[in-house]
Amino acid sequence: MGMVAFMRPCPHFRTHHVWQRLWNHMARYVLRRLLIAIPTLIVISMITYLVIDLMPGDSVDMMVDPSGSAESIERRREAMGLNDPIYVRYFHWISEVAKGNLGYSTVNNWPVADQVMERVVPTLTLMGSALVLSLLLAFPIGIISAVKSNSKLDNFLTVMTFSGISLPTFFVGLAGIYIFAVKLKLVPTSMMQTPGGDGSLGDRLHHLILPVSVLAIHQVALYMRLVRSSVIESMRKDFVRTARAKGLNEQSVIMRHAVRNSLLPVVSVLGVQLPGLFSGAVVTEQIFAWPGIGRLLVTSVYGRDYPVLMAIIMVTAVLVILSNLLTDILYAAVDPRITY
Amino acid sequence: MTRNHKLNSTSPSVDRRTFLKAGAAMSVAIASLADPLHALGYGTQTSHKMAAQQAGVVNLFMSSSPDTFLPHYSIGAYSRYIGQLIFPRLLRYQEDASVVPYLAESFEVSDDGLVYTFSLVQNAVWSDGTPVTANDVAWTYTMAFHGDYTGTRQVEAPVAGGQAYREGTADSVSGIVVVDDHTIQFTLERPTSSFVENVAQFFWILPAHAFEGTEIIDIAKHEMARNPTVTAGPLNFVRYETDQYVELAANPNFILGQPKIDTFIVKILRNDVALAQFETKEMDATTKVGVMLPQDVASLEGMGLQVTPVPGSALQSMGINNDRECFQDKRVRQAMAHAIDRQAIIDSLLMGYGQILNAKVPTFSPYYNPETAGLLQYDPDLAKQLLEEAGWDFNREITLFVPTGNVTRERSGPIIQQYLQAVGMKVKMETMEFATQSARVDAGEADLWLVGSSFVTFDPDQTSSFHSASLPPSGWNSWRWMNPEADQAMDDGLAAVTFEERKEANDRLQMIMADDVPVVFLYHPEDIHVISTRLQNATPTAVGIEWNIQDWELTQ
Repeated sequence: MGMVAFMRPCPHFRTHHVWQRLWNHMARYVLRRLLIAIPTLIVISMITYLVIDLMPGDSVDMMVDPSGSAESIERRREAMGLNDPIYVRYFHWISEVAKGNLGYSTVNNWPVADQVMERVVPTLTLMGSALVLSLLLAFPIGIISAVKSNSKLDNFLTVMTFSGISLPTFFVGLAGIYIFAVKLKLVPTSMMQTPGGDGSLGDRLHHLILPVSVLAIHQVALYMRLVRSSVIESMRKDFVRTARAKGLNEQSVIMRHAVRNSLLPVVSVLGVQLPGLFSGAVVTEQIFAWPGIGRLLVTSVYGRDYPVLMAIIMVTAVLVILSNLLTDILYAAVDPRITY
Repeated sequence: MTRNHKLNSTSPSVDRRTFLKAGAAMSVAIASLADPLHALGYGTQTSHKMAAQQAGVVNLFMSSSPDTFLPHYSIGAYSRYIGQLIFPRLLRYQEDASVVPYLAESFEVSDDGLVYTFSLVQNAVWSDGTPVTANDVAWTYTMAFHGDYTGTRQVEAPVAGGQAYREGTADSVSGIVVVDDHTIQFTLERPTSSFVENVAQFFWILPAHAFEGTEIIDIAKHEMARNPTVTAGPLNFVRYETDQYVELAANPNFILGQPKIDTFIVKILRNDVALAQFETKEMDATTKVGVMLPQDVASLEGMGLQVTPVPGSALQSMGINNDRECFQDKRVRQAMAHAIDRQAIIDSLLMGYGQILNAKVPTFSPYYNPETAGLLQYDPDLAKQLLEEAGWDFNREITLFVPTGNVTRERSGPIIQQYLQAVGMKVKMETMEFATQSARVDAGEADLWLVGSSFVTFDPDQTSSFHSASLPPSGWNSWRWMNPEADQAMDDGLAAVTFEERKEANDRLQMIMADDVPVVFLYHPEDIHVISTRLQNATPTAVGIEWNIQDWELTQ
């Protein structure tokens, strides 16, 4: 919007006026969306709490150990407040959350916020690197496939990427470990750094290679298909025909006109995928002993660790709402047909 | 001119050459980029291995993450595993599952079986230099009787005054008395022979001074639960890299002698990755909480490693709802045991790595009754005959619940269903999540179900899961087995003072169970242990491999 205003050859007060109007609109829109988000989140939290409560058993049941007496187990349940009715527990939980306290795990008593926070960086490192790598692969492959659509090369690339998405992650992961770590000794078998080492940047990058590649192999097909169909779509558009008619060479037609205009749908899909970066990848994390959110989520489901489970689900819900809002704002900024 | 000429004549090939030169330069750059990694000891497996050997680093395998470092509060075996390496206990198990002195150099039991007096070693110190005294022992045991204590590990013995302290009517537990700095005395309300094994063996001593000023309710949230800096076990805690590994170091003041290896890395891995690490020599030993699978044995032997199967800590059973009208005739329950070919299940699902038990006492226990061996043999004709004699309604449909979570157990479901169908029983199978099954079993909705139980200690007492006083919801007798003779045998076993008295009562109980078949004990899987060739003096037995951790050594 700034660009538009800036390029216009009009008096300063007018520029200021346009800015002001846009800002007012946008601010009011964002504020309204954020206000709607609050009741949305509350409703999500209530439903989630209810659904979690419907799961059979509680965290004390999950600790069962036949050598403990039933009396001592009941005492523990009482002390942990698990015997209170659901609305009492929910109000207790949400009032603590409103104060910024996510509570303590009912399984290991550690602060929930600490447990989630210490896994955020490893999760984002793994998932973010995998996303970047799959985009770096998807763009050239997708563009080539689009330009040579329905050729043998296109079919070959499509088959390759789709076999990547079809092979189960644990298989690719273990095969990767066997070939590149055990046999070729190029990369470490697992973990984020060498155990007992100093955890230097080089060491960490070295440990990142294999898990990121395994994830990227899985994700590349999605983005490749997206880039491919989007480029094919814009190649059919009038402006590409015009560009060709102007006598531009084919490379410039594709890169400057077709590809650039097909970025929009890719960006909007990325917006939808962003919250997924936070939720991690359970199987990959397990295989590579990676301390990600995915494993924490699974552990907390099995342990009926309500506070941890609620925290992960609510953070994900907030991220979904925020990234949806971001995508909508970007639409308005990019597409003049959309106004709010 | 010449210059121009040269330029002109070579210009087409200069491009290619420059390209090649650039390529060569780039590969040198990449190589030098990789070099510092190698120089630091990272990158290749060989350099890592060498570094490990020089520093005396041993790598152990654990299959899941610990949840706390205060083992009294842990929900799984993983925290308890780390707990036993960093905190001492009064007594411990020797390799043959016999109880031997540890922090207590000796102990006495009074003739009436009520008073236990432990004499502690004089030279034990915590890692911060404070001496380990009877006060620490008293504090730890008293904590467990406090009304606000939320730990999973309880003192399952009637220590005198425990109840009064829990209810807040007494300021201390009258049955726990510090005689002097190195003598502690426990008084029980009634003789409880399981006290030695259940409590003295399984209750880790904590440093009282490290928790000074902490309310009992807050102990689980104490810094010691995440970073246990004050310890006195064979190893000291160094750090925990979340979901990756626990690093431990030799305790120079360990009362049984300083461990000869400096650093212990307990890696949290999946089985298949641990297998890969045995091949890359990044792994040295399995543990009780991280064992290999039967299908890995061939690969491990192919790597030249020695594989040792030992009796494991789990026992898989088919629960029977003894409360159901149709199962009340013991011949029906015996028929089901005779109908299932348990050895065939062990051979096919565990590749032979398992044992058959007819009562819940493992073969290596001093209380095991060898007379139960060979009973309840696979005999489908006898099974049919027993069913007919009992007047079994062959049109009746019964349901077998199969819980998810343990792959071998899930796979055994359809096999057991087929065995029962082969003798004419109509069996429907229902698969569900474990917690769902437990809830339905406790509500009395189940006919038959598969369930695992563990030998957490090697104590032969079965009161908590087979006594008629332990019916759900207040106990673990979810099969609702009510046998007065068995109750008597369990009571006698607990009241026994001498080993012989206790052995007699438990022998009797095992024979009753093998005859009355409250549940069908299906198989007792073996733990498959592997030790790397460079790790010396580590010997896996049913108690694990850490019983002599201070004697382990590494060779080049």
